[in-house]
Amino acid sequence: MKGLYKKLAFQNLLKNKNVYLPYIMAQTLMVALFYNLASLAGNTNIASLPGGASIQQTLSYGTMIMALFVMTFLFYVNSFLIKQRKKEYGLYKVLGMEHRHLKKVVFYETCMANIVSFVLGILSGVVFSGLLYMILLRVMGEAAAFVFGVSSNAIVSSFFLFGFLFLIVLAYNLRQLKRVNLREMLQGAAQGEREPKSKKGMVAFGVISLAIGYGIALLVQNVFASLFLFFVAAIFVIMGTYALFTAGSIFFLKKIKADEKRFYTPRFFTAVSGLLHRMKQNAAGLAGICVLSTMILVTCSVSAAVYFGQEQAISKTFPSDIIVNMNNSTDSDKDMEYVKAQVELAAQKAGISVEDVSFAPLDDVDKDMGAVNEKQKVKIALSGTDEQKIKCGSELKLNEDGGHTYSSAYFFCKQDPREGAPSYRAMYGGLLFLGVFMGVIFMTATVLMIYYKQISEGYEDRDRYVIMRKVGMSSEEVKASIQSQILLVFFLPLAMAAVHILAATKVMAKICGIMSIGLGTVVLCTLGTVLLFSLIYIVVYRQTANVYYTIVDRH
Amino acid sequence: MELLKVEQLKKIYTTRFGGNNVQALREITFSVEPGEYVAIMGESGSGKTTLLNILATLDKPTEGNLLLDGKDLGKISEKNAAKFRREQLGFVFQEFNLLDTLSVKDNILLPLVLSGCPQSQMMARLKPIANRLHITELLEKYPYEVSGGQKQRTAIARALIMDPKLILADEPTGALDSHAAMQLLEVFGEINRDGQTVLMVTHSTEAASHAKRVLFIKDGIVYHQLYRGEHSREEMYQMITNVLTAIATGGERKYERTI
Repeated sequence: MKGLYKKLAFQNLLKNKNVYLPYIMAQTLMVALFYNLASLAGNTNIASLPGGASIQQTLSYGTMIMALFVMTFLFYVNSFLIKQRKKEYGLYKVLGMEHRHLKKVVFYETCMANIVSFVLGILSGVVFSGLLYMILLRVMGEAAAFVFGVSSNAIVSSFFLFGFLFLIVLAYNLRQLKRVNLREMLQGAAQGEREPKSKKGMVAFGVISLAIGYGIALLVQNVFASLFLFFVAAIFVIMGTYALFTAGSIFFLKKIKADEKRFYTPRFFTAVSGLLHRMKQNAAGLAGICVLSTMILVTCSVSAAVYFGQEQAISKTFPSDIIVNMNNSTDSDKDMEYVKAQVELAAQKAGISVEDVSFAPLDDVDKDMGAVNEKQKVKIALSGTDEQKIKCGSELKLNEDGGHTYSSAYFFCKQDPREGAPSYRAMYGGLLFLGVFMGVIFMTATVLMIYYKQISEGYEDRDRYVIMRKVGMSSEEVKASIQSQILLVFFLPLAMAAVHILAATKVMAKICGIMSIGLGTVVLCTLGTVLLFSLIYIVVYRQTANVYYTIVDRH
Repeated sequence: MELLKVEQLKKIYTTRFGGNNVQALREITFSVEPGEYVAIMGESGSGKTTLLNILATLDKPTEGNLLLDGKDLGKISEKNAAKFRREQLGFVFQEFNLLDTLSVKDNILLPLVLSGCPQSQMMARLKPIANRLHITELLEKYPYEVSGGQKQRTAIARALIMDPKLILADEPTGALDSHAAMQLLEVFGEINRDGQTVLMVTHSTEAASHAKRVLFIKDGIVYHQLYRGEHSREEMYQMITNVLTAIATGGERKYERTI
């Protein structure tokens, strides 16, 4: 007798694979995403990067944000799913199942779906991060190598998060069973959702939340000192995004509907009324896509800035290959001749040539050290590789009178020839690696999320389009209606994400500034990233729109 | 001249892997005059749904001709079929087929919207139809807020709004209780008296007895037909029952005799 409920639950999942497959897919994706982020936040290699502590702090805040996001999203997905199944539960009741029996079935169903997606999520998370790691290692070279492994801490925290979510979802599902009476249950999904009211308060809340979030992001001076504030800003922006997508879109759609001339046209009529009725479920997914898109844009823009700005940053940190300070020089020109001769000697030994020797202006550090003579710093440019330059530097012998005369100055090599450059490259490489890794993860998540939305909505809309075809809508008209509907829905998150990134530019520029990357590079890279991302987004949208269409159009 | 002409219609379904052929319609021939009210009766599996689908241009015949107002429906393209369905035919289905995201009013207006009718004309066309079907008070409600009979009247209003040549009804009383079914049949009678041609597929004797003519389909052919003529509805009911009994007990085919 005990096995019966399990068997029934299992069969129910199979029978309802139309709704459960997307659900399990979404949850698997969320588990994998969360696991990857959590394991990055605990990765000791990141801590060893310069500024690693801040990066890790950001990551752990990011994990918290992700946890919140995952919970709201999956909760919505589940509530939509259970609504569709009410009719079936009603039928079981009619067939003589008692409430406690039904509870068992729902319990097993929820258990199975959650366990499957958790295990799949962790597995795919581990495999995915491993694969991505190997690919990136190949592409970017050893310098960027992080040690990746299966992070047990991340598994544990994922377990707790999704365990908690499971309990909430289970409680919700059981409560749904209890609350409705049999007659309502049997009508179930067919009952139809009431047209939502526009909520001006929620729109206002969304706008205010966004304003606070943007305000913090734009006004905070020291990003690293106030990481927590930045985290608060992110929370506000996410809340604002959710509120605006839920209430704002309803508000917007109602406006179209109120304009009867526009509403009663083939383009808007079915699309607007359809959207209006399922905006509540829609909004959660759309806000999710928007938040993920913003994360992609931020990480990819910063990564691109790091990649394209690194040479610039290195040459800013190392303005020339060798700098020689001639302290207390009395005859600068003569001393420079001496330095030049010595460098040429050293360059010969290293097998390279000297390109330029000239006086360099003093910087603040020199002045702090009491330098007064304007002509006491010599910068030297060399040809050849970093290694050859380093060799030349070590061959360079100063303060030794090898047949040349020099004034009583004391020479010292202030800067070894680009000795720091390789380690700088390693640092930038590490940051880039991290950025690309996260970018790819978020991108995969976004694509799958869009895919999930198209599938779940396709199944939901199918009956509607069957009716419309019967009433006299041709395939072309169906296609056109779907297109305007999806267009309306899918470009909203993209536009919103672009606005978010605009507000985040200042913070991004600050972070890059710490790494000696200029504002111009950051702005250009952000622009480029937004354009490239929009392009990818459009391609994904087109591909998935086809999936949607085949579901809807299947006879 | 006849409005609808069906000549030697044949429909064979081929199973996906070649295999068995199922002959849904063997040979169907009949015609409908303008202003007629015809019921098509038959058991489950007799081919009446197939016939209706072909009449509705949702399916194509394997052989035979199908002319509506002189136009051959068998050779119509998919794209034109949709337009044709919208403009020339009105549908009433057993399961109402109303969109639950649209209000009653918007459900009725749907075909007009799809045809690109200007919004100012819509209300002018809606009002008299809503009045006639007694659903004026319900216009702002949603399908899940009204009763089955009201839903079906909404569906009839939607079918009428394009002023179609022919109304096709598929078991329109199938999902209604007897009281609502009774009222609905009165509605069909009324719109027919106003000159609307109606073709109804049903297996309810009650529903068929409202029609002026009843065609009986069995095993893919028109087996028999009855004219109501001057008979009362009760007499018609009795006549239909007799034919059904005859069919069920394997009585002789009387089609040629009565035509």
